[in-house]
Amino acid sequence: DEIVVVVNKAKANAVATASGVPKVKKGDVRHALVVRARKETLRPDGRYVRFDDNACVLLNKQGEPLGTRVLGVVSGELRQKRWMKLLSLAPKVI
Amino acid sequence: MFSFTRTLGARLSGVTARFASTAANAAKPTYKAPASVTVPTQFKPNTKGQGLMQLIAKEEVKRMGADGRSKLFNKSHPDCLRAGDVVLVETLNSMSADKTSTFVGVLIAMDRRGLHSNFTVRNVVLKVGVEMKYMLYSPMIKSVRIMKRGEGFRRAKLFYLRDNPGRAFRLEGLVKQDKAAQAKKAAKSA
Repeated sequence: DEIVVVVNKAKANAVATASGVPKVKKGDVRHALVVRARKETLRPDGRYVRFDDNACVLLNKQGEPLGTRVLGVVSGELRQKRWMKLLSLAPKVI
Repeated sequence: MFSFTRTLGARLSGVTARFASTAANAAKPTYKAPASVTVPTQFKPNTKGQGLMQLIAKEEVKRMGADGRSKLFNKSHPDCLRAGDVVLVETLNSMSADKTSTFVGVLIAMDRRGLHSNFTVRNVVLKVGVEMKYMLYSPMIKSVRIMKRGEGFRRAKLFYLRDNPGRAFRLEGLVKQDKAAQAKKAAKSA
């Protein structure tokens, strides 16, 4: 699911543009994609998946992932054409 | 519930014979249902002692449990699952393809609800806890294998492991061992 988030904490040495200005600052309002949810999600065959935390991946205005790497597990609900790039970046999809 | 010894054709032939007005109608070929269609011979099933839905559920459990998965939930069976067992679940990615995905983890809950029987498996993957709830009688489940019996778990539901995992989710070694064992088996049989 795509959501609108506000950045509460941004690491100083994170994503930066060519000029050195960080792409993501604290207080930014951005779109993001939920990749893990603590609420159990139902799969078509009756399975439920639940993660221990809620996690999202920041997106740019075009709807593509802002970063170049994804850390941690990612939910299999993202198996759609739109998010295939994100899936390929993820170390593990469950 | 229903007995399938007589085809619809056999029943219809009696009906058509009664209503055959011309010689042409009487000589018409009787309808034979294809093998994939289950045709009941009696329309009032024997529901003595239980309702129709209970009968249907039992029938489905018998049908889906034909590969022996019911024994996993049968307490009196030596191979039954118990909370705390380390379990490997293999699921088909789709009914048409052969590809499977596996999930290994500790069984933290079992719910016995007839056809809706389910079990929850928990593991910590890349520092994130993941729980998967599987429906026992789902056709997507290819196999459920016990990798290690749980020891020292004195509860039926191990939800406390979410907060106090201890050493319960150190499963990498087990997975490696199991993979090696499976490879050996494949090599032996090949």
